[in-house]
Amino acid sequence: MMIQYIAILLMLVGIYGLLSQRNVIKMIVSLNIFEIGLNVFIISIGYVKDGVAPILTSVNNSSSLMFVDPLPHALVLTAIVIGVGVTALALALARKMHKKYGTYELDEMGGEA
Amino acid sequence: MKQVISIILVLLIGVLIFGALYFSSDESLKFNEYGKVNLADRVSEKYIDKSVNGGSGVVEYQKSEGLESGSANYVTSIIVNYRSFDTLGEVTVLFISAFGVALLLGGKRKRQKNMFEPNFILKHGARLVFGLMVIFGVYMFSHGHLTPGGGFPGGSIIAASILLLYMADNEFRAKMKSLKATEGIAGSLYVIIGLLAVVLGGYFLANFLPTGIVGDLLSGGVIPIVYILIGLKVGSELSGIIDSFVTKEVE
Amino acid sequence: MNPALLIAVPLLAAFIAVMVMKIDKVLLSLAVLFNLVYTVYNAIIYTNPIIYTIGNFKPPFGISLVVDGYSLVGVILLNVVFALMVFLSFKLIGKYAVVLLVSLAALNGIILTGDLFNLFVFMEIGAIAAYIMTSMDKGYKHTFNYLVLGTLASGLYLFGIVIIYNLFGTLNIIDLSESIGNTVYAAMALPLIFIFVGLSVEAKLLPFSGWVKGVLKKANGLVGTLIISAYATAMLVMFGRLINSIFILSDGLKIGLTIIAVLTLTLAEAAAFSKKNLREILLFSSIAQSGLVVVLFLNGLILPAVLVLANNVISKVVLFTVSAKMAENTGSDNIYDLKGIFASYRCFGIGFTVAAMSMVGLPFFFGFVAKANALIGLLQGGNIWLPIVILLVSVVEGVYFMRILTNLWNPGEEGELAKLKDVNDFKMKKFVKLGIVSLIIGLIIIAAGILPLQNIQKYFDADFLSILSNSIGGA
Repeated sequence: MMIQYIAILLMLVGIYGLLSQRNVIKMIVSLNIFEIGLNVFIISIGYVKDGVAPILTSVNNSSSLMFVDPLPHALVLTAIVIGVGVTALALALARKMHKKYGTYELDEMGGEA
Repeated sequence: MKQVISIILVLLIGVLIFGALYFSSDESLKFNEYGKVNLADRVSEKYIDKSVNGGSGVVEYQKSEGLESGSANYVTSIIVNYRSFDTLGEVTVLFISAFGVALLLGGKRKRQKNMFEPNFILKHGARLVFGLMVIFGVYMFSHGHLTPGGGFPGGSIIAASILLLYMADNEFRAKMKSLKATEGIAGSLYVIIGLLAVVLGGYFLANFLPTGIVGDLLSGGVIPIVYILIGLKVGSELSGIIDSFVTKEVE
Repeated sequence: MNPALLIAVPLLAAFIAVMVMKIDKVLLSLAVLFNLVYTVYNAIIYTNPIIYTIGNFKPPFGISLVVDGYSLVGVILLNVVFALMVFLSFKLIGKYAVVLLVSLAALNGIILTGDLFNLFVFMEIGAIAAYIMTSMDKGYKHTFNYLVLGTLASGLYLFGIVIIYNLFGTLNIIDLSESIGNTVYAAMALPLIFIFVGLSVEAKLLPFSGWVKGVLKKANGLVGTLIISAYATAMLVMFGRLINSIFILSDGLKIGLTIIAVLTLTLAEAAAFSKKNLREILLFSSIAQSGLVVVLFLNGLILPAVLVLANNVISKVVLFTVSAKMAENTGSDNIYDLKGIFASYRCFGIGFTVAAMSMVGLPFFFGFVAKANALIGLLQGGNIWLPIVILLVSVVEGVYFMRILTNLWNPGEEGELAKLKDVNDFKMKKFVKLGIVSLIIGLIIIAAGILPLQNIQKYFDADFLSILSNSIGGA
């Protein structure tokens, strides 16, 4: 139960960071914290009490045992990779902004509104 | 002032989420509590029994053969077999972000120097570790259907090994042309396997190779081939992103 | 009919184009042409809705692509708009052909998909392609703003989907609409709020569309048309499907969404009225039209909503490309700086005029048919306030479009016209293509306003819900 509370708390911390920070790097970090909270929440949806990891091995060798739900694991794999792609693009944009304006603060960047 | 408003807004959202998920009083439909999940209510039961297209009894390790999805790792069989279209989309996400980073930071590039001069042990020790890391990455993505891991972590390990070489040596640059060629060939082969399945199996991305015994290395039909392609593609893309960041434009 | 080809062929072209960069524009043209021909051919032979399962796994367990009349009309509209946009702005493409191919595949996937998580993946692909395209004009600050808002929205959408998975146990839209049936669950209120907040950022509804102004204010013809026409088509078509066929909205949620959409409509039109730059006027007009389409979807009027969307999207292709071209060649798109430019370039002046009059909704143009259908549908539903608001807003639209047209057709003093002439005398040849295409589109708009609507009614008679009973495997 606690793990779901902590995951939602992480998401809220990420949203707070996005709303209140104006430094580009801090905004990217807050976005990542939000995504981590989201991914932990998705995994926690699939937990079955006393279930084992969903892999057939020589120890758990039959499909009649109680496994954990494997579908949220597949969803989270995709979500993590998408998060990595967006973070890479955001960091490249941050570097271009620094080169053009000389600062990482959004308020000092002036120019077009 | 802005911080106070942000905190109030975030607390409101938090109260909304917690109230609706954990303290609702609607009896007809309740959010399942942590751990108390009945898999028979969800689609996952058919994935575990591997009986989506018709029942076939209990699946046993090293005994059942010719199933509709022969991999021992259930998560792999979902990612590469049942929901393969999502994986194609995910591979495209990495592809387009690597391409976008290369476009944004583009131009002729030359290597940025590290802040310190690496000494002899660092340089040559890193090459030893590089070899071990590459072997481990290849092991991970080629055994994706038997052990945890698969194409994505395996590809990331290969990219991390290339990052190690960048950090340990001031003049090292990976060959961009061969990386781009690997990426393009691996991606096209994935879509071509899907289109081949239209011809051979009747539907896009169907599994048209024989699926062997559950638990063997050569089982699962198309699954190991797709995971090897994904591992190579992810490794070369992440290395391309690392290269774009560590270099700077020629003045 | 194999709808997976519409997505696989552009992706294959993109993967090949990154290896041999020399032929990327050839591959782009081939893929766009293939998509266009394939969709039109399938629309002509269309008889019954089909559900195409990927990998031959039965529907709730595998991913399925839904092809019924509604998504077929959406896919045709999208591919036609995309082909027009690539044709008109071919010289602006540069090195971005691979990004355009990926975004074509993603937009087709958004309209065709039958699975909620697959929709999330395709929306992310389309969004990343849009971020890269909008950085073309080197305004990185606006792209970063767009990126942060878009990623936060997708995260909230994923949160909503996961809660729905926990409640119902499936992610397939056909299975989900069967499980929900016709009842309104109180536990669905929270995930539905998150899903619609997540989708409204891309669909440009008002509280969340702060990114549009910065990104499109100085956009060139290719990027502006991509975001205003192609992305708007895909997002609004999918929005309509989610509201009407799958989720049953409670009354409170419906009222809330209606208020947001009506606010979008009125405030954006008021903002467009007060601006003097062509591209800003057009982007605010697009935001308002998104609000109008969402209002129509919320009241269950599917056919009029698609007509209004088609009218808006095709007219905006012409309007925005012409405005961007004029701004690029003369350095400004303020309507007072461009006085009398149409008097010397009549071809695309006429095209622009027809498109503008169709946006307002004057009789004999397609826009009149679309708006008339919408108003009749709303009045038949017993609603009085919404038609009054829409009529008032159309009057405001008429005023500012007429202001644009009178300024651009009548030459002012000699001074302004002279500045234009010496810049553009040797660029006349390049405008011929744009002028001819604008004329042709204008004629089509007039023709569509006169011909009857019966022959596209057949696409809206049956949607995928009618084939529910015999396509799902038992659980």
